[in-house]
Amino acid sequence: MSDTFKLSLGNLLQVLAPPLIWFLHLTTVYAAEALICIGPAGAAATMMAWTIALATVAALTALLLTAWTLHRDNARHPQSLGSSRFLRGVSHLLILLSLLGIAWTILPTVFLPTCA
Amino acid sequence: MVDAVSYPNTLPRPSEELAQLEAIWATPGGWRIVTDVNNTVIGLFYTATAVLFFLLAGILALLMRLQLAVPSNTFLSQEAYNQIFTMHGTVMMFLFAVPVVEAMGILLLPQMLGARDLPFPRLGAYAFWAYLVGGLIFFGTLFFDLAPSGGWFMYPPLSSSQFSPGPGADFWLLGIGFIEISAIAGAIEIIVGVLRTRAPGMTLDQMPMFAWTMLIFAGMIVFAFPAVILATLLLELERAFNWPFFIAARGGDALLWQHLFWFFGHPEVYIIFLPAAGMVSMIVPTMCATPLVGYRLIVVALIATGFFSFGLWVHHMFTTGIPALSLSFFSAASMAVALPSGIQVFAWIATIASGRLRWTTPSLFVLGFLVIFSLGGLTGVMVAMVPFDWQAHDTYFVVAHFHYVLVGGMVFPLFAAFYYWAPAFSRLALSEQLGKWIFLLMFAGFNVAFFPMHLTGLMGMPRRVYTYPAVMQWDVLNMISTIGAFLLAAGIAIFLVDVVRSLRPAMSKTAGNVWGAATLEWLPNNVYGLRSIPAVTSAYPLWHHPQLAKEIEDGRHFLPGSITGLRETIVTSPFDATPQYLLRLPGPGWTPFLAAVLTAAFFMLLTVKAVVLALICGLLGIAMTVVWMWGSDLKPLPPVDIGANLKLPTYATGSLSHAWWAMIVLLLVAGSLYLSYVFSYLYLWTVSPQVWPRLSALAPIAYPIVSALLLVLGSAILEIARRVLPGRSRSSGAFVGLAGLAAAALTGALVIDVLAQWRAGLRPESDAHGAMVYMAAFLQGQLTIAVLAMTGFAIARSFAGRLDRKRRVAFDNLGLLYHYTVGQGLLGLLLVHGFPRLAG
Repeated sequence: MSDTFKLSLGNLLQVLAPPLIWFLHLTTVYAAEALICIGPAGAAATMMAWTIALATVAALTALLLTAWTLHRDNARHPQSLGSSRFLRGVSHLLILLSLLGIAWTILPTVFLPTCA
Repeated sequence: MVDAVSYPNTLPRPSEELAQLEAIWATPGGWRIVTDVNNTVIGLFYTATAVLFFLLAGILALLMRLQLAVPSNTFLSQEAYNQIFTMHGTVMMFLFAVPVVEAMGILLLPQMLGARDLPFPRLGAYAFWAYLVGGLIFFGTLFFDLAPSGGWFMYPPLSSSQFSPGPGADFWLLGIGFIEISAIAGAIEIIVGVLRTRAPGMTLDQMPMFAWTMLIFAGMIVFAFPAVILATLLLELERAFNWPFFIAARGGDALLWQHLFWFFGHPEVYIIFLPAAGMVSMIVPTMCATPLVGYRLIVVALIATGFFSFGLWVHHMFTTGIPALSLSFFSAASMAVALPSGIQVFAWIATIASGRLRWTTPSLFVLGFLVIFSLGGLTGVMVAMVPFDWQAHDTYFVVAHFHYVLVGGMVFPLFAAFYYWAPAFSRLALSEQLGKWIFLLMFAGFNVAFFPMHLTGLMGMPRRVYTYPAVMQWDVLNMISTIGAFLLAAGIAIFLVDVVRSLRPAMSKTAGNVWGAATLEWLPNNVYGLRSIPAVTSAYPLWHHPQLAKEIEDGRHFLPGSITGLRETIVTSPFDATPQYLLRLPGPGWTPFLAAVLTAAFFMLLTVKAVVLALICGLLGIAMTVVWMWGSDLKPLPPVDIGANLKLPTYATGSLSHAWWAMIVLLLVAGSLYLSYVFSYLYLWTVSPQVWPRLSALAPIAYPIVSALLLVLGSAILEIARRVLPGRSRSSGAFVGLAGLAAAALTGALVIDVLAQWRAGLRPESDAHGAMVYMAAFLQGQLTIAVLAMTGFAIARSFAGRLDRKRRVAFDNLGLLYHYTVGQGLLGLLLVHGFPRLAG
């Protein structure tokens, strides 16, 4: 695999990671609800609350990690132009949008009891 | 742009160069045109066919509106109405909306990207012919009272063999499944085309926005369509062989269909909308004579929309009894998708504000789109709220909402696109005067037809009823809707008049850049694309370099002729578009056409249970494909000079090869399909854990272990085969033996697994668990057959001296498919043998 190919793959992953993290977070909390909330009411609700919290922390950490790789790449290649620089900019903005998406997803848990 | 002083090629060009280029790319005359594979010809055919289906489905809509114009009408019978609304929705969604977008992509992308053609012209031709033949047969069922009548989303149990015993549902399942395969073929062509055949230097931030949207559109097809392909497979297997995936009494669940269908169905809305948005992003800057505001933000919005749209499917299922918190997650996601859509709308408004909009027909259609689509988006946010949806679900409010989204978001931009791009492909532009009348009729007609439906919906009129009593007081609003529908139809009829009057499709000497647009498709084009291919350094090359058209026609830029005597295009790197190699493209041939007709015949004959004839057609179809593939993967030639002393190889392998990229995309399709299967398996377990067997009833663990070992062994053997590929000093004997052994290992693993389940007493028709286990084998079997066919092909090529250490793309692709199949097989074994042990 050539260096150019590896670099391109890295750029691509940085672009795809933020929305993918949002999607995985959504499917995790949705699947968790389907699997956990069939159990006894009290314990299931607690477990569900913890699952949502853990999934959210994991998603936020993953987003932060993506942001860190972007800053690292910007520092390593400050002069880079063209597609790489463009995609890093796109990735930054996608992190923001995905952050909003995740906040939006967990918003219902503030208003509704877990396992409602 | 290329330095104004030093051009890649000098003048004068050899006198025979242009004549040779024209001869190589000449379109076959007369009826032999069906053998052509060139993107312009196929793109025009494709677009015309999609418009034909739009008209046919539109006529069905008018019949429905006539039936509903007055209460207790007897114009159509209930069954005829059911067939007509099912066909209207199905044809509009599957035979018009997606294909017309692919058609526009095939037509426009090479010219826009500065390529001579897309990288797989025969695949594009195959996709078109398959769509045409399959679509016509499918539509024809309406005339024989054989059309499906279960609605365009075909929910079981209504579509099950118990409640829809005739062949109508089978036509839907096999016909639509087949047409989706054609859509996937087109998507592969588009992804590889956009990523690998851009003009040198056209980096991603200079790519026309339409190409961005087509890339995301095709990516979404790759991940969305497999879900519905799996769903159609499951339902067809249930109908044909009584495998109870959706039958609750035997552990199945009808809601599984809804999950799979809407996992495809919701992204489908954006699959349709995004390319239309791309067209708008091309038209607005031209009509305002200013660059698009917020290019990067729009790309962000497109990617985000693409992803967010996959997290919305449950909002079609708010009334199915899913827990409230789950609904809220999807309600939130449904509102979140308004963010990226809003970014795009504001970017267009900002572009219009920053320039000076010309009041042309394309501009009017774009403005119409903005108004109608925004209204549809707003009602979308309303139905995204669960309590509102509970009230409005399955009423005419929803009918109004999705027509505002789909017609506003797709049909209006498409008409803008027809008027905008017609001069690039026709000797005459379409009439501006008629165009404005058409817009007025369509805009007024659309709103008169569909706005009242919000009210009839709120008054309680359910969708899909074939009539209603006068006492409901829906008659006035319905009559208004019918009048609006005919106004809309009048606009479209005048459009047809305009097309007949003005459209004169041409490969060269077209009306040209009448709008003063800035992108490459407006350069003087011919059937071979541009005479010479420029290096691009701007998103608006024609505005920044006004002499470009003349330079290109003179042949000053790259590849001014044919170097190898064949059709050619430059393959560039996916991100920065650095030239990597010269791709030799195939010319006209019968095989794509015949393969498509025979594949269509296979599917349609299966539907009417003519199994033997279907198998004969299927085998002949495969034979055509083999003939087609035999002529590909041409012998490497020495590097060639395309200009500016840039020497490019004529052959590439591994990740450099465009074929490798296509295979990767195909594997993503297969992976997506299998993940849908894994979801289905686990979903049915959550619904009916009681039909999952106890530990004692499971097949002994030794069987899956042996199967797994065979799979891993097969992969290892194939890797050894890679090292002994025939070469100068090595014959093909060792390679043939090892490749055959690897194929045998893969087959053996599958046979052992199926035998183990059978011997353990498991039967596919007994319950949902049994059906799911055999479904894993079915999916693995499909891939195994493909691997066997490709292995045989590779062996035959090695005997014929067409496969060796250098010329080995056929083997590289076999390797990718083989290793993927092994991975899928191991996951399948883990699921069907491991999960019951874990859960039990």
